[in-house]
Amino acid sequence: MNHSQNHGTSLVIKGIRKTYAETVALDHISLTIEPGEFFTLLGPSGCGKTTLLRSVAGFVIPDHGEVYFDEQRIDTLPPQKRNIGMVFQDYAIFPHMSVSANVGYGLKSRKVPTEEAKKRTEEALQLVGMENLAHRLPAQLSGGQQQRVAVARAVVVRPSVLLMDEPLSNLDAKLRIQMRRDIREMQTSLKITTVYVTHDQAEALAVSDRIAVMKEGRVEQLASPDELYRKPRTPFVARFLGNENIISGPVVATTEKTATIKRNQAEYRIPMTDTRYEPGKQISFLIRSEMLQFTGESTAQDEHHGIIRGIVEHSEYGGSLLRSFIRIEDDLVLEVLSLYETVGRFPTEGEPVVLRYKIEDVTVFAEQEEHQ
Amino acid sequence: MNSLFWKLVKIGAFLLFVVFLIYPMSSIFISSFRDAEGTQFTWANYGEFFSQAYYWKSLYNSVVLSLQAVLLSIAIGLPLAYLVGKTDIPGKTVLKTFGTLPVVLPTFVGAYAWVLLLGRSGFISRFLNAIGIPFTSIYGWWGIVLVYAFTYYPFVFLLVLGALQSIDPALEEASLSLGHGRVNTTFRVTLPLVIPSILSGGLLVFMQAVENFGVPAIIGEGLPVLATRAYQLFINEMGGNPSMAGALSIILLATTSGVLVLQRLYLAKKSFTMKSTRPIEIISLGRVPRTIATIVAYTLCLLPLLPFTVLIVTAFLEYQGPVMHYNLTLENFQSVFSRAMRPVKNSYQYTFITTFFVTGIGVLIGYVLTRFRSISSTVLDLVVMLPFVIAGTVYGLALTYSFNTGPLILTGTSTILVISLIMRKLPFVVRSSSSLLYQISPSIEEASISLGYSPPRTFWKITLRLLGSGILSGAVLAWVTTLAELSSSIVLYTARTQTMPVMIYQAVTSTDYGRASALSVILIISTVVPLFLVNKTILKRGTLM
Repeated sequence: MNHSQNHGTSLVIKGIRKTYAETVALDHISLTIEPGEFFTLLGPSGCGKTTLLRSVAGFVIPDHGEVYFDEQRIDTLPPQKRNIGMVFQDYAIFPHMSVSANVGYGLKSRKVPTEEAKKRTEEALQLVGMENLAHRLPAQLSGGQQQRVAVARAVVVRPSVLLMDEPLSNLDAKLRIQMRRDIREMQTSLKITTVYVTHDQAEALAVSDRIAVMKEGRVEQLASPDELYRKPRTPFVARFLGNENIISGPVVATTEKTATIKRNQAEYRIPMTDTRYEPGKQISFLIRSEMLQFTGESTAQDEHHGIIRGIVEHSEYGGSLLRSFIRIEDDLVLEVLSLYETVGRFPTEGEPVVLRYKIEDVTVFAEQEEHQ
Repeated sequence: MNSLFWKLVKIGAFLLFVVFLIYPMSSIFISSFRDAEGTQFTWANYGEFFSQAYYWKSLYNSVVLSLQAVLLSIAIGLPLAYLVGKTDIPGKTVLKTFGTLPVVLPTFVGAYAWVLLLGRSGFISRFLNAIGIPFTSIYGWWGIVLVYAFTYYPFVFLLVLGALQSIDPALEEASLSLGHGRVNTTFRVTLPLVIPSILSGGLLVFMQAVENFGVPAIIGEGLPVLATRAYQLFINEMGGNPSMAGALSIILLATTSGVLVLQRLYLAKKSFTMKSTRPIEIISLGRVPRTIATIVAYTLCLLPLLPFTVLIVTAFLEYQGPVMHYNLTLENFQSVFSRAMRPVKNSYQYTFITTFFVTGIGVLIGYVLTRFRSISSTVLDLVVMLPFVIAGTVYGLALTYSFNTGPLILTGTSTILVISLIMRKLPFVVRSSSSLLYQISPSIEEASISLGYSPPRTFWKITLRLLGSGILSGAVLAWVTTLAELSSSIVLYTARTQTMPVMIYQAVTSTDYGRASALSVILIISTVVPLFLVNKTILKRGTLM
């Protein structure tokens, strides 16, 4: 166990499949999670992320597939023999036990000597900043405090893998941000391999080493937070990470470095990728809202920049940030996110505007959605 | 998760119900289609039932009496719940306790106590006659309805009170803000929201009333109801043809199941889940209305308990048969202790064993039903609730007929009595323990398992500890209702296995009022004392079903 504590355990999932009656909850999922990695499963409800986590925990028995902690196969073991630490959405603190009894509970089953157990319990409570409340009963704790106890209880047993199932979703927004930072700091210092389930993209981006975005029982994209945000492979991933500015249409012209897409009356220039587009091919792409800039009426497009014309539909003042919605066509509105200082005034409704973007900032989806 | 242990529990539960419920009930069902010799298939028993007033009158009486009991129970329970739940009348804890007590007191003792007050030579009857008001007695139709309502109204009271307290005050505030007054809001918002609870309470009243044997037997004066008619057939035809008793039993079973299905169908469309985040808002009454409301509430609460206090007093008075003298004495108790100790001992012994098993089995079945969803769980859930719709006398008859021959001969033993008690009380304990289990999040158990405890160890270390006081409430409830059980015991007892309720019933029918009162007092103390000692929460929470 000390071994796993110092170097972390790798988690390998091979071809996991789980069906419930007619629906496929997990469709042949394979993942390799590195020792000490903070790995997040992100997706909407029903995408299978919790089912996958519970398969690793042993509360869900997959129809097919294998799970390994380092070289040891564990999917054949019952959950109590897997040496996992688990943190639940509803905290699952034992209400009849004090804070320290909750934390010490897992040490008892591992027959840790009393003195050592006491020491480790104290250390774990210090780690989550709960050492002063060790003798309280759970009913006397706030939600955030209960979740800290839950985290301490899960890590005190020095688990091979720490599993967290939407641990922050019952907390209020401010506390969530504080807690996710604390969890990440603790995980980094302990180097515990962690699988974290959430549907909150901001949370996933903030804490993870890598993120697997899931959809309908499959991994849609597996990447670092930065890559996921900048280079979403599919419109689904882009939308799930909060980027709605997705445009699609046929290629009408190409140059060495760019292609022109026509959608109804408007034309958009996008970068040419390694797989060159033939004219007539249907292409979907993303222009992230912070990549669009307001520019003067007379600005023309050039070698490196594209131009979009539209009418201000609505603007939201958000202090430092200005969020504007620009109607480009009857069925297309683009979001523009700017620093208020750079715009300098509040766009008025109905005002015609010109937007400029760098062609290289456009993300062309590697996988095009079939139904487009 | 679904470990071997829980599979065994499930199989065991099915075995228990197949052998001691499905088998006896189906043999009664089959025998109802047999002729007098028990060989030929025939509809004749049912034909005879519906053509002869002697039989169909009993069905009619049972249903109409029970419906009237339901209406009267609502008339008492609903206003009481409203006054206790929504207004600022004083002494609510006391009112809640008084409003729960009648249901744990034995019904036939209640009936008998009313006879002491309003019988032909009852205190009040004689007083009324002395001042020239013509009053004969409580015996007959309205007496039965009155005793039912006074005994069973707590079902309505407690369920409606619970519902009232779970209504989000914001709903009523919304109605007030939209311009409806207090009265309008009460009738348009509050009342519709508690209708499902009124119906659930009403159903419990109906089920208890329709299967009740003791009350019509004691104050019915020959007014036939299904429960007593089945019993008479059983006595008359001992050793003879059980088919008519069988037909009667099946008709009673069909009645109760029919009512249950109707209620479920209605509630399926009309139930609300309400969760209030704020405590209920109390309406502050003016001084005069509050005084009136307080008087009304205490009257409603105390009137049903009045006969029990009278009963306790009379147990210490001298009797010669039904004739009472105003001399204080302990003779009645001495007579019980010297010559009728066996029923007391039997009752305690059977009740203790029943409580032990019914609590253990009930918690295990409750766990299987709440935690492991499958087709077999759904079937088990239905089967476990069956005793709830089977009248005690009917079940007693079924057991007697089924286990007097064959590989398992139990008729006349104390074993069969205990089995009948266990089976009849199981639905209540299963229901109460599964409603508690629903409140314990499965993730609590998963947390324990993830920390290295196997599912059985987790059940022992976490689940049972969390159920703790809930299990105790269930056990006390089982104790209380088992001790007072008459309707199945009256069919199953022998001289050796006589219980307190059976003895009281016999003492009342043979007008040995002294002994009946003394035994009743012992029975009441045996039910009420553990209730108060062990468990105050059962009265507070009012979770009776």
